[in-house]
Amino acid sequence: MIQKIPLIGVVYVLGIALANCALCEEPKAEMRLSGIAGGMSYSTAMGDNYQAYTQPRGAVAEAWIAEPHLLGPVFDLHATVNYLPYQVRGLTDSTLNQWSFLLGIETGRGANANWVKPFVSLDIGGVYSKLSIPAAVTSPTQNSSFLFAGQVRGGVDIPIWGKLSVQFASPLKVVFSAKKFVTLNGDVSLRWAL
Amino acid sequence: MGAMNSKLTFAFTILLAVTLFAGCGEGKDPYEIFGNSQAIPTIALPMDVSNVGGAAISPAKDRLDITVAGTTATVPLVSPVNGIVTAIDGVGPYTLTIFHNSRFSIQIGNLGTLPGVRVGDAVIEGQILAAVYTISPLIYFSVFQNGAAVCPLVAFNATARDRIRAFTPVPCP
Repeated sequence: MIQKIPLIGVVYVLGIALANCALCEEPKAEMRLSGIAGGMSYSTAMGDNYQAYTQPRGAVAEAWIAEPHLLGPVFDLHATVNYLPYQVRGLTDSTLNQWSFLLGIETGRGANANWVKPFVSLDIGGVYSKLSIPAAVTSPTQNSSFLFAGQVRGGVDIPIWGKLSVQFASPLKVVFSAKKFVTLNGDVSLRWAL
Repeated sequence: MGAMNSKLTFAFTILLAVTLFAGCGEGKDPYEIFGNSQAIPTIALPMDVSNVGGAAISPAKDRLDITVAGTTATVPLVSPVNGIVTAIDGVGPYTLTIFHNSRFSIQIGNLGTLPGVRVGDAVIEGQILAAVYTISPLIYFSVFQNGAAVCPLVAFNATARDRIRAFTPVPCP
């Protein structure tokens, strides 16, 4: 933790400085929630980890924040929470539960609700992972971690009706553990534009 | 402007929180536990070869019984592989199961003392697991490949194999 203090300070100071600098002019529009989405996520671990974990189905929830003054009309802030329960191949009752909390910038959202919109986003944040073991065991050892993570996510948004649309996205996510955990996901979600 | 400023400050405070929490956790990082190569490992005996006082392979060739020589109370049993303890069965003697990767796991039975590890512990090669059961100084050793018990000799290194074959010349497939 002690080694992290300079890094934490730099991140915080740069963040606040950026926030203040970006706001040194008169604002043209307010930051606002521009969309929410929820859906299903399917994941596969890549590389050597493919043999260690099954392909789980999980859930994904997303939100978009328009900030026209700082990001312009093209970019949105994109926040995502994703849950994936990976089973361990060769073991029963052992699940690696993974919660991702990522924040980033997305482009591709047009103003016209009738357009089919391809999009791409770059998100960073943290991933909390916990290994669950059989409940019958008394006094088990718990194994969990909270690690940096990032993802590149491309996809397409297809309007259904009014402000409702369906999204197909394919995030490539990297969890920065000692041995990097790379997954390719497939997300299907319903998006409501606000 | 003040409201926007506070929102962005909030966003960067979240990033700060992620930076603070990164690296936190309990026990061992799950990704490291299951980060072993998927290759079938070559292993040593779970004790020093000089402590092997006898050996016999079960008729089904799926289990090796090793008689422990010397003062059993001082013979430590060690883990022959890196892995995670997935089961501790019995109420003394105990049976310990260690999962190395999705293709390979081992089971050591007839352990005398309560093993110094718990279910969910990540163990490393050479780590002391338990002591020999002094009433019956014999341990049962099984190897599982792709879910099936196989002849343990196929997983041992040359030193271990030679030592076992000195007592039991039964050929292994």
